[in-house]
Amino acid sequence: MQTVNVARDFTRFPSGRYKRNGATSGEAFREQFLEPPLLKGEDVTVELDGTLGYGSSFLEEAFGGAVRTTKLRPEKLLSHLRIVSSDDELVAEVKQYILEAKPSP
Amino acid sequence: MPASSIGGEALTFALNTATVVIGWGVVHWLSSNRDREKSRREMVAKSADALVEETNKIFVDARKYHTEQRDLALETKLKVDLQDLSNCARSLVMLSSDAALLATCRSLTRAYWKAITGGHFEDEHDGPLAQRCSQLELIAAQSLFLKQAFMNLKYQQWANA
Repeated sequence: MQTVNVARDFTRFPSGRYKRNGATSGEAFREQFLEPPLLKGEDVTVELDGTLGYGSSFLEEAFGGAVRTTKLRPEKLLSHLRIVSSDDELVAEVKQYILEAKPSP
Repeated sequence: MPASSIGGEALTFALNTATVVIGWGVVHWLSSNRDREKSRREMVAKSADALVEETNKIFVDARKYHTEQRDLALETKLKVDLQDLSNCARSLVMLSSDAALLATCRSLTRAYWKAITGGHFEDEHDGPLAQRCSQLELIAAQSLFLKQAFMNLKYQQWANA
């Protein structure tokens, strides 16, 4: 089980959806920390606390985008992913993005 | 005076004294509890008022952000302020035990956050939105719902009193 703390391991200032707009985007986070273990079928824990705050587009691209790029069904992805935060609503929002995402054809 | 009479008077005195002391203790304890509860209710009310004011400020900034050219400083301010609003809403649990009302405050804070940052935010901001667009209307609606939730929590303190 890998554990990634967004604030410590990625950035305290997550910003934006796409890499073309910055290295602290949801796409960059997903490619660096989520896709490698998930594509190998490994479990990963993501700790969300400690950042400046998340825009919804960052979260949707990072986590919803993981469904699209790994082509894992949302339920399967959730079985490998543990989201940790003191904010239950934030955790629920991330899970919602995963459940609502559709794998890319 | 016979010894039994002296002993009886001493016992009576001791019992009277104990009754006074215990009675004073009970009254003091009840009074302290009442004062503490009053302070707690006032603190919840004050916190709710502050959160309503913060919600209003965020609303003004959000409208400005979405209806003008992308402003990176305002964008950062919005994220920080929304995070702060969320932290404060979650901290209310230390003051209030109204679980249902607190849960409503937390979920509506999140919904407000999503309304402001869920679209046309950061790298999705491609120029000013029209004043009457659906996202601005959603932000306004969520702002009202959230403020109402904070007010409900405030007024409930006196409904329970």
